[in-house]
Amino acid sequence: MAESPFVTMKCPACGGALYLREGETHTSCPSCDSSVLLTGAVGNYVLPSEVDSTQALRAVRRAMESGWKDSAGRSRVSRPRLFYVPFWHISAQVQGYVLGLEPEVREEEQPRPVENPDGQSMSVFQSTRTVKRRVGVRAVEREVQLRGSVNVSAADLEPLGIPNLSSKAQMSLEGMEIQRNALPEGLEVFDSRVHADGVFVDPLVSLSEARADAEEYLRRLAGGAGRGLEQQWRYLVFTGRRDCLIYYPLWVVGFAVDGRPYRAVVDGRSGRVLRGRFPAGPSGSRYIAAGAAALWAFAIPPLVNLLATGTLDYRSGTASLNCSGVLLLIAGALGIGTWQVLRALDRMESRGGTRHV
Amino acid sequence: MSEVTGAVLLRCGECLQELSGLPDDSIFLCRNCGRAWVSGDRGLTRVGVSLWGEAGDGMVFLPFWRVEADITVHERTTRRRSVRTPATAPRDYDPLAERGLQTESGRRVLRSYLVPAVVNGRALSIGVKLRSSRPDLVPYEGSTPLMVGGSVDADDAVELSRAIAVGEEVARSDFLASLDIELHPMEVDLMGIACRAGERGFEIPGAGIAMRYADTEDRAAILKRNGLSRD
Repeated sequence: MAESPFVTMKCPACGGALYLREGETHTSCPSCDSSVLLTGAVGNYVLPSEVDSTQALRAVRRAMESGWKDSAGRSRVSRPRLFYVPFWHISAQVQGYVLGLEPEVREEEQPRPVENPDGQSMSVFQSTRTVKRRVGVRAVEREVQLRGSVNVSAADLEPLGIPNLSSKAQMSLEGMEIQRNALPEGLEVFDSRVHADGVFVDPLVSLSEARADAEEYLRRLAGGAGRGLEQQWRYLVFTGRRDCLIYYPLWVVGFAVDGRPYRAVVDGRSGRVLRGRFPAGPSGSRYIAAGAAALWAFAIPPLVNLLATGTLDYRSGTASLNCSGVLLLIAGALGIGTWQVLRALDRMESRGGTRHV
Repeated sequence: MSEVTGAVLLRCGECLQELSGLPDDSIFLCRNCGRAWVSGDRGLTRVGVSLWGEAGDGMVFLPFWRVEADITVHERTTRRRSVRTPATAPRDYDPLAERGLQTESGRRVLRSYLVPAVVNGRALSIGVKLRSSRPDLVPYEGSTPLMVGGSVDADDAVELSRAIAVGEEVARSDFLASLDIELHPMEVDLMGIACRAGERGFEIPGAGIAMRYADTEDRAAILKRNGLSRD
């Protein structure tokens, strides 16, 4: 986590202390007022949260109630925490050429054999069909000139259930203002004095990794210029790169229902629940438990009787049958059956008792 | 993680005049002594600069990289404009021609390239056009003008020069199939060229070439710093 946003360096002119804020690329010396250029610095921007903790809690409560109405009343909610998760924004221009061969295709009408009404013979010229025939190839030279930008996840959000943005993975993030390419609107230059709330997550993906990832994506995008070409030859260069780090707000709300822990992630911009696990409420397991209880209720009196007398009492007749072997078999079968029912209940509870958003 | 690796005084290394530029600039021209400086990981490095054109109303000095390079074309393979398939035109079909058979190799030339040092989405086209049009520029005479917007570094300029060299081969009258080209930069320096801020873009005088505003990343800031505006 970015605990101390200030880095102390000395002014190259007067030797006085320079107090640099994270993300600054230029500064001026407070002692001598000299302009100082900071090498290796990358601009940091924040998309401030437009949702407070109360609104985040309300969103989670609504999501809870939409599944199981009683769950909100039975829940114990811990204090929502605001996290600012980092994304690299890399822009570059891709220029070059794609050369290749473009197939030339001609559409032709061809006779189609049709069966005659007598069912014995075929007529060839009664019907036609359109076929595409490759008649040759044409040399093509295409120029590629595009300026593109890519957002790359700088921290792993998978544990929160949010997919990562990368050239190999996700193309978009549903429900979030930050997407694959565009720079989101409403960015503010990161200033620790203004943006004091929340935890700023440090980027785990290095800038060079993010650049390589962005290049891979842009290369693929530029490759579109060669669509449909055969025997392609490409020459692409990447220039004018610009990078910045964007912090995006996410509220993480933890809560427990009947002792079971759950977690939800609320978008700090829209206030929508992005991802989360919620209790799904009582399911079919309740009816199975009732059935098992009824089975036991009917089985216990005759069993007690058997245990006490060792006989099955047929009240309609006079005969009495000694069934201690049968008694053991019934008791064993009931024991195994009950064990199986309890296992099934446990499985249903763990699978059906949770709702994912 | 973004790591600040050093603090560099934004002053001319010769006359200590304060340098100024746009937030993303890496090229700075000292308005006192006329020397140019490029920022990098090791601080500010001096780079040669020459100024061209005439100052005046609506004129903006923009930086360009001039790359003097030794070009070696190891192999250049071309193909026919079009080839028929054997099924439709068996007499015309030539499987070697379809793969590209005209190959030449071993050409070596010394060339000079001019590449915009401002971020422009059409830098490659502009570079190719500047190579073919060879603008007739006159040396600038007067006090050192303001020149901002330079944020393309020398390495990128060399890369772009290589792309322009490829573009020249593509622009020839035949159809290129592949190219094995090598570019060795001999000299890389800056040229400040007075461009007219026209209706649609920065016009390079004497070349008939304009860098459209729409393609120029820092157009608004460049115009603003030069006291101009274009909606």
